[in-house]
Amino acid sequence: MKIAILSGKGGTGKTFVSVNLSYIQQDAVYLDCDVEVPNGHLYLPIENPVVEPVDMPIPSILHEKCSRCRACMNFCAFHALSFTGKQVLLFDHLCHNCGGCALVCPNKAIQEVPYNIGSISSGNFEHVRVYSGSLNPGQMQGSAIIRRMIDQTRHLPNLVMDCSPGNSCHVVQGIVEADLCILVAEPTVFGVNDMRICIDLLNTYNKPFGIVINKSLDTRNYIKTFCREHNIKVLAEIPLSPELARINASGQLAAKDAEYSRIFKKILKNAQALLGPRLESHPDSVQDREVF
Amino acid sequence: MKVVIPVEQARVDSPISSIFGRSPFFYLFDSETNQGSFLESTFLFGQSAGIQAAQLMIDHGVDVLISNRCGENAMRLLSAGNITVYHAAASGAAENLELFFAGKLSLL
Repeated sequence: MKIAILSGKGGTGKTFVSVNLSYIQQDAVYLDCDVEVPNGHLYLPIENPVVEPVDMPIPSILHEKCSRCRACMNFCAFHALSFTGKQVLLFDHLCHNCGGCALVCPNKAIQEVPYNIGSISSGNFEHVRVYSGSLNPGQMQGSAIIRRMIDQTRHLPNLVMDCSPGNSCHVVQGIVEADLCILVAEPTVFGVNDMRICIDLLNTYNKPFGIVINKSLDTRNYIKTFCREHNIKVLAEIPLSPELARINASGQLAAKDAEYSRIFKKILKNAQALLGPRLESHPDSVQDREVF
Repeated sequence: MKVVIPVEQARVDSPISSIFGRSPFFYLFDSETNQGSFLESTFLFGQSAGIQAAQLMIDHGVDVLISNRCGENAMRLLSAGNITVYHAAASGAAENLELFFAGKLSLL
């Protein structure tokens, strides 16, 4: 089962759920898809990681061949190419590596050259296979690193994709690859608001999903109320617990404790149960689903 | 010399815009002809507005920009296009123009 772990809001416990969910499975691959601030390695440290640089093609302008026709800059949807009055100027961090500028240039004045945007570290922590993407500071093309990681692991049966918070392109890379998504939410008004936005996104992609309520409380549990009202499956609740907070803050895996591992086994079991009947539904039935 | 001030409305007495790239209008004053005109932004809400605004300045042969704030990308393109950027000292467009020609504005 390929699972994307998401949350609208940051700090709800995506990494906490992801690393522990990976650890309780015998053959799981953990992908840290939060490439701007990867932190899964704090819980699943790799010994002797293999580090692979991720390069993307960006244009290099051969100014002596350039006729200043502006075909390249008119083509670029991201305004990565501008004209200074004398020559074409590239904003390399805005380039989305589509190669269109080189194709439209009538003078063949644009060559594509490799440009390093980050790296992927991989290796093992105990029985867990770990991939961790890292985007260089100032770069914006994190999706390329996530796609590269997913390409390397697509053939493996059990992926846990620890996505970034919010609803950005980075998150979508994980969603499209997942069989099922798990939304980690905290029971606050803010938590409900951001979870709803993420649910809208998941409905757009018609992905099955369930909620894990982290830091769950018995009273004023806004997530629980919302899920009941909208008939959304809650996979498990993780109680608000000082002991769990201590374990997590010290970089330990809660799932190593027999009692806490039961929570993550329950998440996995309920997620599998959710996926069963959903596989029979028609994949194109976006209109049939309620969009909030 | 062509001087540009980003403005909120297409009027000479308009307040100056707070950010160059997100300005709805640009007041373009040509000191040789003593004529002023307005350019309207077509990229106000899009991505990379600063770069597009800087490109518009270059394409209009602007020499000087007077602004409160200017983003990093826009500044890089303006410098490459040899446009000097001065820091606005007054809230209105006309006052800034007067201050500039009196040599009372400093570089941004």
